[in-house]
Amino acid sequence: MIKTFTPNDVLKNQSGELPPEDSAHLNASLSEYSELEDFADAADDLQTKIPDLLSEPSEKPLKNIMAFIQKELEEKQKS
Amino acid sequence: MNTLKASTDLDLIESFLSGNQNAFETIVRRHQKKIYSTAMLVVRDKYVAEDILQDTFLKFFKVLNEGRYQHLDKLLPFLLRISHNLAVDYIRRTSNAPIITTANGKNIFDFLNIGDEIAFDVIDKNFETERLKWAIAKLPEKQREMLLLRYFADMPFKEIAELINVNQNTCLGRMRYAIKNLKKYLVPKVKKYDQNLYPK
Repeated sequence: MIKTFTPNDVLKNQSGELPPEDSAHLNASLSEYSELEDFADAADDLQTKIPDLLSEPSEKPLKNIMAFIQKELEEKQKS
Repeated sequence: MNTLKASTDLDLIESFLSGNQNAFETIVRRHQKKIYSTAMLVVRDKYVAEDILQDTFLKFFKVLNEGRYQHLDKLLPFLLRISHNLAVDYIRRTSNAPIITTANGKNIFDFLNIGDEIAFDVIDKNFETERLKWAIAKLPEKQREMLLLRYFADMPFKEIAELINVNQNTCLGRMRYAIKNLKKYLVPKVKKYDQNLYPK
């Protein structure tokens, strides 16, 4: 039986939610469906670039958060 | 502190609830980069994103303190959703800022169509990454949330569906449109010119 794959299958394959036999079948047949292959490339490309989107905040928010929490807990102990 | 670093989020939460403030600091240090970056993708302002990071953890503290935290091992997705919602609320609140219009009432930046390109030229340090951030900021709210939960929190669609209480096909649909839209936004615009001015 020939199985037809959709973009949803490509996404599930990327997230590891496609059954292993379907995943192998999809990977092997992707090059035969140019539209699906383009979509898979775009999804893979996006996943690869995700670490570049992350940036580090300054130390200021952390200091403010901890100062607030300490104050709140001290007040809670008093009351 | 090293033992804390190796602990799971759940262990850290329990440790904090039994009085160890360092455990909360470890949680913040562990997740702050993704929470801050989530806010940055929406508000695109370092100072506002830091305020949102702060507010996200203070909300989490409040929920913990009141004994209302129920997400157990899903802390990062829980924090990402708070951060994203706060960022979207900020954009909604500030969208009433005055718009400069042309004589016929059109937004001058729509008319000139150069606002984003100028911003890119100034930034230009890492053009491709900045352009991707800009494109993600342009995505509809639900598509962007899906992208963040899938890639920042590394969640499978089945778990995302349970977390946000929609069915899995809705999640897959939102992600599919997010990828298609990003592709569309990132295609370079072809500048048209007046054929009469520069005939072949």
